[in-house]
Amino acid sequence: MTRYVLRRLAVAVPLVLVVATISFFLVQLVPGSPAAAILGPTATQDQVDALERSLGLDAPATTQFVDWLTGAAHGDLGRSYVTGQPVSDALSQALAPTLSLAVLSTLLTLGLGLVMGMAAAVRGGRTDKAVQWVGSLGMAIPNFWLAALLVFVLAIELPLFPATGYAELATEGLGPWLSHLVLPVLALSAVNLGQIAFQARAAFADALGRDYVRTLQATGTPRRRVLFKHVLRNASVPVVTVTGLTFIFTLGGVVILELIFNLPGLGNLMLRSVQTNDFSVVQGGVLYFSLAVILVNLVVDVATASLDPRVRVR
Amino acid sequence: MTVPGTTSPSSPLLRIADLHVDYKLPGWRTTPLRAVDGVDLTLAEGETLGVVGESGSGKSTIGRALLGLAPVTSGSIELAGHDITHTKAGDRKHIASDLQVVFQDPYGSLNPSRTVGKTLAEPLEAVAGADGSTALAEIRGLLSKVRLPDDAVDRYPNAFSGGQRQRIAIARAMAVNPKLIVCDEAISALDVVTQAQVLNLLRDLQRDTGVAFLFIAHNLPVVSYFSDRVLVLYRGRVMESGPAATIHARPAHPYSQALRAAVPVPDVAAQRVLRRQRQAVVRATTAQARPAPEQGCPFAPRCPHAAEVCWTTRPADTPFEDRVVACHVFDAASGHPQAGGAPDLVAGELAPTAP
Amino acid sequence: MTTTVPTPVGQEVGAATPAARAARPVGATARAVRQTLRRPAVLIALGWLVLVVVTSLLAGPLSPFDPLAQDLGSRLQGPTAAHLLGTDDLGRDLLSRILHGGGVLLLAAVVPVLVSYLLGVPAGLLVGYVGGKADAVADFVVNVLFAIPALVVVLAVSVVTDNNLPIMTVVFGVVVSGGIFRLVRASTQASRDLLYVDAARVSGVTRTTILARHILPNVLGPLIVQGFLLYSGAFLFLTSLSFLGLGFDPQEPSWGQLVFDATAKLDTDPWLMVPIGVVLIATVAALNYVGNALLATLPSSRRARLLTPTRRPVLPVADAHGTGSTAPAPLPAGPGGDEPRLVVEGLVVSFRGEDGRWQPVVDGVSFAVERGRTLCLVGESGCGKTMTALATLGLLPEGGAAAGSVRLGGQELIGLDEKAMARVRGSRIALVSQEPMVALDPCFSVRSQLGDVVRLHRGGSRADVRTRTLDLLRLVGIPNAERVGRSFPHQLSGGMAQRVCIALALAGEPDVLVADEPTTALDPTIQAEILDLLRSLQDSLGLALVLVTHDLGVVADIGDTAAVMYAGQVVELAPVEELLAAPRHPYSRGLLDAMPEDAERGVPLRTVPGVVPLPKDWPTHCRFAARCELATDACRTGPVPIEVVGPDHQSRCIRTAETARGVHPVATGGQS
Repeated sequence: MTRYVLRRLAVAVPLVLVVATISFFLVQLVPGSPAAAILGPTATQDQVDALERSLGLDAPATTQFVDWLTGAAHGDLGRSYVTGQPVSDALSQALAPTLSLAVLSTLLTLGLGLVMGMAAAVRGGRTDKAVQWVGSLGMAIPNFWLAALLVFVLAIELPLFPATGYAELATEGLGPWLSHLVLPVLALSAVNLGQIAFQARAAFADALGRDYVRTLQATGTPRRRVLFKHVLRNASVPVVTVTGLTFIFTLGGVVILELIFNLPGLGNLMLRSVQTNDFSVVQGGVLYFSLAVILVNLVVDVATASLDPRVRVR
Repeated sequence: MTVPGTTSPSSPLLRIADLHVDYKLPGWRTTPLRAVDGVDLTLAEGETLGVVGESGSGKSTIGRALLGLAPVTSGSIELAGHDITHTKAGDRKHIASDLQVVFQDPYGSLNPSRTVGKTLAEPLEAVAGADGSTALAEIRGLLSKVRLPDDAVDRYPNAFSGGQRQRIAIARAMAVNPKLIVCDEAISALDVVTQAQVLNLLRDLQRDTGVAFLFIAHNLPVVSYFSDRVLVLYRGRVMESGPAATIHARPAHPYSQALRAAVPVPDVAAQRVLRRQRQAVVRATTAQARPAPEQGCPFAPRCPHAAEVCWTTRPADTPFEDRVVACHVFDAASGHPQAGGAPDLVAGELAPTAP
Repeated sequence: MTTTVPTPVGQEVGAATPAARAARPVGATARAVRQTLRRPAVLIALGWLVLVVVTSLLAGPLSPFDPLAQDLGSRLQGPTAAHLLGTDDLGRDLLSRILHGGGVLLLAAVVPVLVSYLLGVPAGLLVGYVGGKADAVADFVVNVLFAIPALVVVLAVSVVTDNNLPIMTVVFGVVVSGGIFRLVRASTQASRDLLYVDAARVSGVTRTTILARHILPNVLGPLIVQGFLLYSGAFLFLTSLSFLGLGFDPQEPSWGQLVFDATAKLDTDPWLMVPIGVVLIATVAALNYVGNALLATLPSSRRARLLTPTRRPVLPVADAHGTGSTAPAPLPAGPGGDEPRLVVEGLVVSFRGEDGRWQPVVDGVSFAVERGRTLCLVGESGCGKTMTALATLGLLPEGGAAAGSVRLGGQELIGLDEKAMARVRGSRIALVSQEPMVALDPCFSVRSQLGDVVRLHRGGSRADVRTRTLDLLRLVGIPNAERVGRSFPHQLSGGMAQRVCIALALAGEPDVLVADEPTTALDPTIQAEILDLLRSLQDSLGLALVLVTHDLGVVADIGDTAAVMYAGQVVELAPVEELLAAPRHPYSRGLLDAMPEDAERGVPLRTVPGVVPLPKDWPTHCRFAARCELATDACRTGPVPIEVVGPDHQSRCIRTAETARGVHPVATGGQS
């Protein structure tokens, strides 16, 4: 198991490097100079040159890359072209709402999806139909529209939850934190819930047909224990794997929902930086999001390996 | 057809010399798995050579190496005088007219989305360059040869039972009139009645066309019933080779004896004898046995005759009566305590059930 | 971004393997697709999609108003006769804006699909077929693509390219192409190792022909289905961009932007949300629905559920006697008149067909087993042996139900509810199944699985359970019980796994052991070891053993009594010695003659022509008549009852009198 984790880490490191490279050079593709883009069309060439020098953009791209990478390794992603604040500070401050949203949504979809998939596969018939309808509907509703609907119903008509904003967990406590996140988490989870529930349904259907189910029942093991101990564990493996894959889309959804619910997270920061051509923040943001995906995939790998010993030999 | 027991003609149809096949195991820096470990064999035209062994013996790998489906690590394969050891799949057109195959799984070996006619036309097109209309006549002939109705041409494989599919697979192999067909466990997945039907069919085809078979299976009595000569494999090595009749009646190598005694016969009295024998010819069950030695004889951990030398030295191929045995007991110079006691071993251990 | 975007990889995890999916002829798939396209719900979905596309194409002529024309006099009106869907805060007609707002979106969503197919399909085919180093490289590239959150990258691209929509869609296509690549590679890999592909290689068929003829068709179905789902994902993604005000001309209406405008007026004018919401949801739902309906047409290997239902199904009285063509046979009386350990009488097993009718697969089977004795159920595949064995434990697969009588130590098991049956299983009757390698839960160690069962039946402290677990492993001939106990099932050999399965079955100290082809999947020397083990356990524990096998050699080795089954019926029930020496039913004789084990070399084997009929083709008269060389017209007139032909010997043949006199052609090679 330890060897397996080390091997996964060994694969993740080059992945991080490549992703970092992509993050950096993505912004290098800007036609003309970033400085010109920041200053706008009215700027003179002298102003542009001056800004380039002050931002260190006059050095060759490779030098800039090496500097940026060395910095990044020490947690320094440069300074915002617009506010002058260190990029890593800006990103770190925005991390909490984003993580709260993404993690809560992932846990919710995983848990609820497993339950729905299990019910559909085990009970079949009407339960199966109902799960398929709910799942399909969830997958068809754009999250920004669902967000608006939830705000209208649960914040405006029935003022149960705040419509926008964020409360720090550390300073304001669990209650406010959670109540601010309920609506965005629900809006974010609908799509993935369908996805996960369908996957779980297939995984349970598969596991229920495996020979060990019969072997265990033949030993007198009660049906419930076969279901909740053995079938559940086997079926969880592909479901957890898919949760890792859908995490990318969860992050995409986070950007939109942070905008709608006015959460001070990474997504909002990215959107703002995109509008103000704050390239260094965009660069750092892409890196942060990618690192999150790599990290989640690492967690998923370790989780599946601890669930299923056969994964460990791979 | 070669008479069992006589030596093969001077230029055999197939000659495999010192064949080694290693499989790369998945994973990083794993030692490759040696599936075939120095196998020699020859096969004459019209002859049936049985290759028998259990899973992991490398019997199917030999067939796949011959067919170009497994990578040869070292050694040579010669078919009708041509060296085909390393001929890649793309260049096998000229080999295909001499060499065909029937696989074990009659469900997997036919493309479910192609009609039987198209399946049978494939080797004709690839090898002989036949076009649709000339092929059709030949296909009809093939179907009648394997005793399937004409209208099978336009049907899909799912319309046929396992035994019928195996006939289709045999027809595909026979389409280009090959000199040699590799039967890779071709009857192992079939019920006993169907198995008998297919064995009879193969025998008839051999009589009519003079095709040779490399007959691979795990059941020694079946292999010796069907073959002229038999090769007993264990962990990639040939334990014993010789005429089928003698190996069936008086297996010499301790492993051949174990294999022979392991297959029960449908006769209560004879099986009672055989059961006592099968307990006598192995020392340890597979669950108890130590791992096989790197050097030495792979059967040593389960062999009742194993001595020190068996754990350290690879047995030489030793002639014994009309066969060759790789066992220290048969090699007078091996230093085994029982060395040279071969006749006792063969006479004592296994009372043949057939008269 | 909301998405159904490609988790094609998701679909490959846990779903049927593509190889299994491929195992269906073209004709059947085409038929399934045609049937699917005729379903009303699918037609409605397709109709909606056509409507959306056509109205977007003809937006100009169809729109009642200019979508940009402001009319501040009629702001924020609900639906009126003039403005069917109402107006927005600048008095613009919503219907016209919706008609104009979809065209670019629908068209742009094609780009990512095309890009990902152009990249993913050829690369997947090539890498899947060649494998090796190319595979490792491609895998890394795909991992990079999967580490990049699409929306975030497209955001960055929008900055870099100054909101250039075509480039953004292409980049999105590249990012999602990893999913298509994995799908194609997986299908290709699965197809590459198929035996018919090997056969084509052996025939010297060129690589391109093999790819086009044998591999591409297997990949095509999943690809087409994936196209719908990918398109719907891309469409949602672009709507998200338009919602964020990226990529699309802010002057022109577009659907995402319409939602954005509506959210601004949410508290005062919620109606604005409704029309655009309905259009968006209906469009995505229709795409997904058609995609999923097509997905269901792909051949899949759905397994029958093996978990017992909470309520065991009961055969309706009318079906409880099977075809009714056979009266239950009189059972041989046990010694001293006591009832034997296990008695099966008039057992019928039926499966419910798609038409709701019950189709019997076991039809009036009767036999009995004494303590310490072995009864073998013999016959070819499809004769109902396994279903008979499973019915005794109440473990029929989904859709099956049993009737008749199964008595275990005098207790009737048919009709017990699931809870009561679970108490019987393991402690009084246990099962050893055919495929030891898949019979154990791969996620738990041997020790844990065996320990659970020991605890279930005996309870006791942790140490007691542990001791008993190791004892059981030693009992089944595993000397290094500690090490094997720590192993996981995938680390065991077939023979070792079967020993563990036997230990599991014995953990509750049952009286009866049902072994369903326990040695068929094993090598001959391992088979011999397992047979020896079963025999010694039987001697020491006094087990009554029901052993299912197709091998008369195994019967000779371990059986006391044999029941030969043909087409769901017992056709001969006899002491093994008698059965093998002088079979009285032509089918038993046929099975014996077909065995090459002791046949004379060079002499053709005697065989029975034809194959076992499927249950739906069972005739009412003698089921073996079509293949029997002794069959006369009398055999084809009506059901044949099973007759007592000797002490403990029964045969279901009207010509048993003649078979006894040796009218049978003498077997070749068999000896007695």
